[in-house]
Amino acid sequence: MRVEPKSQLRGLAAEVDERLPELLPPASARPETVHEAMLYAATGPGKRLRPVLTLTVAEMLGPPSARRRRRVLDLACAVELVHACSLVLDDMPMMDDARLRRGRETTHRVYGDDVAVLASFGLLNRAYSLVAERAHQLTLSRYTAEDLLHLLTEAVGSHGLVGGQALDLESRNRPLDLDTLEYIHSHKTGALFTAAAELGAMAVDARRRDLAAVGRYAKNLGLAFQIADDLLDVLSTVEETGKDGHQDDDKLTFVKLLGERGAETLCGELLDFAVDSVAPFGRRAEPLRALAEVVRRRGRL
Amino acid sequence: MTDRELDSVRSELRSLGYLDDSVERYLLQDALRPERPGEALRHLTIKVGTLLGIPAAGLGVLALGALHGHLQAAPFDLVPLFVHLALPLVVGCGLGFALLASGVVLLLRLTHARRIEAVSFAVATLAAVVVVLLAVDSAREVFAASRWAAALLLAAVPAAAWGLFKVVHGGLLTLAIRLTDLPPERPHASGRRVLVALVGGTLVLSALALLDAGRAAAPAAPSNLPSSSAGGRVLLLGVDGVLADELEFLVAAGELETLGGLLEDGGVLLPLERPDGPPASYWASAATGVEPPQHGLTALDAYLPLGLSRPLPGDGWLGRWWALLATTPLAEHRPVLAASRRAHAVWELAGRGGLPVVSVGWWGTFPIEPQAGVIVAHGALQLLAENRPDDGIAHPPAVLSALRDAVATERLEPPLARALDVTFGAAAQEIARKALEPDLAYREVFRAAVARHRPRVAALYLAGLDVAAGLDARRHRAPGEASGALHGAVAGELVRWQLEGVEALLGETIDDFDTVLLVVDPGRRPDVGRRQGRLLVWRRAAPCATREASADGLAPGVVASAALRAAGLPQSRELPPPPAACAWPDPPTEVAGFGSRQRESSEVGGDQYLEQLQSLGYL
Repeated sequence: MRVEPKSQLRGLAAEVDERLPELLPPASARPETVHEAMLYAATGPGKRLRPVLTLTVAEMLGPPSARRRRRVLDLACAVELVHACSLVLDDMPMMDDARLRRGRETTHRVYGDDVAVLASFGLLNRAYSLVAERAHQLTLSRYTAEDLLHLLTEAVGSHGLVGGQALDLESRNRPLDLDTLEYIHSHKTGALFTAAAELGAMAVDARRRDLAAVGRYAKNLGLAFQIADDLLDVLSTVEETGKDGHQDDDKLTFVKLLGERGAETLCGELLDFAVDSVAPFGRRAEPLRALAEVVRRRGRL
Repeated sequence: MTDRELDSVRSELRSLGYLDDSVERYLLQDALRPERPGEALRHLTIKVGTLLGIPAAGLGVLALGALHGHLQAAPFDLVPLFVHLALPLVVGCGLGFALLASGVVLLLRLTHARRIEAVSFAVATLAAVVVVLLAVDSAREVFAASRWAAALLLAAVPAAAWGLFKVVHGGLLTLAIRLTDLPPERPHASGRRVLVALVGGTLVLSALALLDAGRAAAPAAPSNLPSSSAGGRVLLLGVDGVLADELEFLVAAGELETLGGLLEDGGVLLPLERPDGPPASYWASAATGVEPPQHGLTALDAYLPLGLSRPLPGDGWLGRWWALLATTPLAEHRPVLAASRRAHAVWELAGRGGLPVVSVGWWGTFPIEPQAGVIVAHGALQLLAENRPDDGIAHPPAVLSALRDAVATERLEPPLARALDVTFGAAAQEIARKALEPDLAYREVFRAAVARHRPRVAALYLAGLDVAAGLDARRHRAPGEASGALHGAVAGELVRWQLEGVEALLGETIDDFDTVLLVVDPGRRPDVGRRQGRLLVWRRAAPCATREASADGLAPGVVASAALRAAGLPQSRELPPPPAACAWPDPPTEVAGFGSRQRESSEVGGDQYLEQLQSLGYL
């Protein structure tokens, strides 16, 4: 029976939601506060776009056996843990100083700055250990466990998330050019999108050219997602986004650069190109097309 | 935000590895579209047709413009020509792709082939190789007309072949993915290797083709051709619509005493090949010595697409497209005029040194180019009879009155007229007026011109029996009825009449000439056995060998070659050697070629000439 791509995506997101708490230490284990904060940060309501991307790519290029699939799911959850870590840090008073995230109070406001920092490190290292373990179990021929780990660490490091966030902080209230704006977005957001997709491809031993194709898809999807997020920040209410409104008032965004219509056009073009990048996979790429549609509508899965 | 700002953002993002407008992306989009397979094929056909048809139209404009003189004489014609070519080429390329795609789909379905990439790769490579071969071959032809256009065309071939490979490969791959839901298995060969192979192959083929074309190319025309004192006067007669068997039978039966006498006096009768093609093409080869692509008369008619100032020939698939277009106001039907002939005829070469010449009625001479002596254009009498203005019909103007007199006075003898009445009934008058009486008049005008000017080269073409065959065939073109095309007893009568007329002419003028070349061709007469003509060669005081002639016919170009040698004009390496059965004087010099005939396009009397060709059953 053919499953609708969007239902398929929802199903994958639900699997991630279900698996995430199982992969984290229980809140009852010591240090309880940090573990609780980790669970709080990682399991809050979210779209789970990145882990869903990992799973969708793997299924498209695989499809993996049940055992292998379980391991790929854990890799996908590792990506979500990295994302959760980045959100905790991003919301901290020395960064964005956000009050709300995913419709709830931010981690540092619930557990304090010290616990939030520790929880974020906990999440990150749990992600790394998960990738190391599962990649080893996958017994790949084209890639080594180190390759997968290296992919994720590079996406997080100073050439990835960290680099993007650093430049974002430095650029507040300063005139920005497009090149810097792209650097910030491609590193803060795009790097993890790309890593998520490529991790899914590597997890099923994909050919290099398929890896490149999904990488292109994710790179364009990531930038489109960021533009969609900028649009959402301007056009939506706090209730709709679940986070503080007008956080981008002192930043250069594509919306400021191109206006709402221009940003929307560019977002659409990036998504079109993202979808075209995976067209060689035919209808097996339909879930990836559906994922792009989610971003286009700035909606939930 | 302006569109310009958005464009600059787009372009910067492209440089950063985002948006990309490659051909592959454009085609592969359809692999993921949720349409039905038929819809996907339709989309792809339109896309591939457009992607291939537009550049092909560009190359086609370059090739056609060079071949037919638009590049030099009417460069502004190239833009409307591109517009005219784009649609058929887009449609043609689209249909070609649809055909290829159907083959690939069938293969995938029948063999359950999983190697879709390999299949697409092989088909695309084959298509690119075919295009390279065709383009190199076209460039050889273009080379004769314009070297730099040929070079430009060849320079564009690797890019065109590469583009074709990418588009066809991408298109087929997309369709295969869409139909099988399978991603490609593995890259079969890197694009760079294909590119290197195509460029390398094209360069090698181009070099070979250019070397070959360079050897065959017509060099600049010498302004003055030296003539040898050993050269004599040459009579060239072309008789259309007479079968070789008929000529040989009448000679053997002793009914053609003068021709028989020439053969007994050292003359020889040689077989002449009759390549397929319109009469203008064949008779122009006989008069110029070169093949149709080189002399340029490849069709009887031409078309003037809207916006162009020079017509294009009506042969080949493109000719069919122009013909279709001519049913609308987008193109006009035109006859092929003398301006289309790029090679010099024998009498033009003889006349280049100021020698007097006579040419009457030969194909590819309307409107005429005045020369020392007498020149009467093809179809002159019919044009005069239709009271069209006198431009381009004859030179000197005094010949016009002789032609008018001849039209008014020359009539068939009563017994022949009666035989025509019995056989053709109501059509007899038309056949007499359009086919036979003009030949009487041409013979008369020719005889008078030869007597008056004593030409170095004199050429006469008599089309009467061919025209009669054409009119007869048209008369019988009713459904279910066999083609008449002039056969039976009346044919014998007419052949005898025509050849006796030639005999009489020869009898009166033979003393003025040292060489006689008589070409007899079946024209549109019924196809019996091997389609060949005959060339009678007679040289005064230089008997030809009487050995049995080979059954293989000579190329029509030997006629011009023989005429030039006999007239003591230089030998050209472009032309075949004259018939080996006869001895020929040494040429004063040997030239690489006689150069290309560059003439301004002239539409003088084009409409009437076209109507005349149509009324004689040629078109």
